[in-house]
Amino acid sequence: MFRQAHLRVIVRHAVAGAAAWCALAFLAGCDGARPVLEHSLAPETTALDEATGEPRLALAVQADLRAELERLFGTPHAPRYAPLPEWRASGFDPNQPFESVGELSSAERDALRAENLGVFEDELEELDDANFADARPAERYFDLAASFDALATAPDRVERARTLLTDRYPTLAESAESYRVKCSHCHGISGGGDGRTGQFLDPKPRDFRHGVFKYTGQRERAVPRRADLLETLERGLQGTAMPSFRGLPLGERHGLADYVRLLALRGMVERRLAGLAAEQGDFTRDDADAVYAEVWELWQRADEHALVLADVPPEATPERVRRGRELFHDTARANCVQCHGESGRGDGPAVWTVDAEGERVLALRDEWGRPAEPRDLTRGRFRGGDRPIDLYRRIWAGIPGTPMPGIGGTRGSDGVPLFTSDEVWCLVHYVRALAYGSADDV
Amino acid sequence: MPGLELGLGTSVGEVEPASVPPMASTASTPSAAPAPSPWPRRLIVAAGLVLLPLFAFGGSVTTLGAGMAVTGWWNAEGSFMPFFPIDKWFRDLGTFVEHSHRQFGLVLGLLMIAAVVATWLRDPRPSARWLVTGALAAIGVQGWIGGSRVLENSPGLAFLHGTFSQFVIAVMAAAWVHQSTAWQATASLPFTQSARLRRLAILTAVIVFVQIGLGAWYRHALRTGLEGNLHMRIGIHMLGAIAVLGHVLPLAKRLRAAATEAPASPFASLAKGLTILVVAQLVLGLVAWMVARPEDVDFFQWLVATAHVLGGALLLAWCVAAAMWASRTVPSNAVAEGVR
Repeated sequence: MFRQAHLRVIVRHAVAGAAAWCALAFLAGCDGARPVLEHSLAPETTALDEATGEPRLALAVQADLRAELERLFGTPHAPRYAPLPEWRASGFDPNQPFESVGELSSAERDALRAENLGVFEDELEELDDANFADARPAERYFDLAASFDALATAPDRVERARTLLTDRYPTLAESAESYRVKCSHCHGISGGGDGRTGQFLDPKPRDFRHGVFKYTGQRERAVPRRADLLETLERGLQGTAMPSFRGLPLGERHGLADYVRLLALRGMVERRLAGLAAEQGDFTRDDADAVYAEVWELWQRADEHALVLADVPPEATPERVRRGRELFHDTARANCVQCHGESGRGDGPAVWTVDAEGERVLALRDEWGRPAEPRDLTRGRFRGGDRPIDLYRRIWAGIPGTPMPGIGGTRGSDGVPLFTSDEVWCLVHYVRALAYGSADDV
Repeated sequence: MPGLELGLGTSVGEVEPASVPPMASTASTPSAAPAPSPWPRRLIVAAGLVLLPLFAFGGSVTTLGAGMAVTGWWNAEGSFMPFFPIDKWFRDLGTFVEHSHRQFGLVLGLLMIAAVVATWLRDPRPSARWLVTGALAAIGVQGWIGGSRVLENSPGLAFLHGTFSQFVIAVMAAAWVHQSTAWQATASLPFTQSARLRRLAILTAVIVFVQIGLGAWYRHALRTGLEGNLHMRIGIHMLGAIAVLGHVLPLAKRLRAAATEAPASPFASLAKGLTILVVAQLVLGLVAWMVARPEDVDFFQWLVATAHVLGGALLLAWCVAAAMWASRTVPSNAVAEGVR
């Protein structure tokens, strides 16, 4: 028999359940709140003069620099590139990589469209049923959702919404949000490698502001292509805290590469303008525009520096491995032993030195002023990848930002290349033999 | 000794059930059954004690932000994780804390494997076998989340690792109580308000669990400094503290009432422990919030934050123990009817 006591229990549980549900909904909703973030200037830019204790760059100049960088690159919440006049003519727009000329290949666009069909499957089904309101994308695609809302009164809104979803490519602001969640705890909001997790990492997270990326497929230590950044995102860096982001949707990976490029560009412009201001005492807006265009040109011409393989890689025969070993130990030619040592363990004579206090310290430094230890090749942990093509790139082009030189582009006084492609492959095969245990057989 | 407060018996795993005094006049004590092996209990107690430094180091990892101080998991910077070189282990505070946390986790896992083997071989109770096996599974999952957090360098998994650890605490506390001599010697305890006590104890354990999760939600955001809702997070955690206080104190009161009806039960010590822990947690939490400067963690901050994390884990363990013992109570009139 139903009693009043039962009713009380039911009401009490219903109230408690509703309260718990509201609390959970509140928490779930609030978790997406975005913080107020600001870009910072590099420590070199804001450093104090050791002698005077005053800022090396006057505070007013630092403020101008901040303002110019914001004009050219936006903020962490609203990142965007200030358009250059020449882009208008060519149709290039880095703010819209999906639409612009040359940023994405047709194959990449097809892959992104195919992926979007899966990502927005539910929304597209709603559109098939002409349920425009229910097809609104989730709030994490906030720019897409805003574009979607803008179509609300258009007569052909269903068709246009379908195109919006299938052609979806993350905006810089959406990618900045992905970067905040997934990357900035190591790389820092401005890409300085100064995120809070970064303090305990060894090796340290990359400081993008130098525009130097170690593992690329570029000659002449040029800035990387988007493809290089994407490859690092997809494969991670073995033996470091940089994981693979292959699990992310392709579009999001592209977006992260775009945003990393923006941070690198921003940092390069900052460093150059700070250098200019240090020389001249100040800089003008024209200076800023000129530096911006100059840095952008480096990135736009990155493809021209790509290391392209003309031939099929030769087989790893014992003769080639033996030849590679000769070159590795030949102090007049490749001279790898100088740093990597006789046994390839990274203990060559150039690695260590004795400092003023008589301590044995690493002699080699990298672009960021940190000690650079040559890789122990016998352990088989190659950060830029252990495929033959990865090692070929490292040996041919070197590792930008480190003392590891590239031998591929070196030429003698007569202009003839000092190393043939086959000789570089011989070194690749020898290094792989060192790592994977068959070098002793040779 | 925490084990005593959780109702383990008088000498933490060393006393045979026959030496345990009867819980109450109506408590039933198996008399004909052979004496159970002390080894499952000993191993669970050892594992429970390892949880303390494991939690202290785990909390310190979050406080210092040192979760990525050692690259790799089983392959830790080229070394098999248990044999990570000692000079690297002590190279800096972050590495020391992170690797010590891993080593205690490893010891816990090994002890629990031994406990599972011992329980399946020497403890005939199916509930004991499955509870210990469940605890081992939870520890395995927790280790896997922790390892993945490092391999993926994922703050999200770090938060999950911190929260799931509370589930491990809850299951371990249940296993600890289940293996205690007092528990094995007690079939039922009389208490007039048995049903209310059970409901309140379970609800309190759930609330404490959620509250610790909220604390982790705040702490992990505080550490990265990349979330925009820190004030809201700490605000909710403080509201949660009021909810915890509003449940733990009535639970302690009801446990004291139960202790008067079953004087030889662990209810009185459970009530005392809950009261001390909840008050200490409130004070520690308040101080931790006031001194928190995540960009510059000093010894005092670390000490208070770690004590707060450890206190939360102990409070949850106490609540789980209280809920388990509450489940052993039966209404006094039902006992009387049973006697008749």
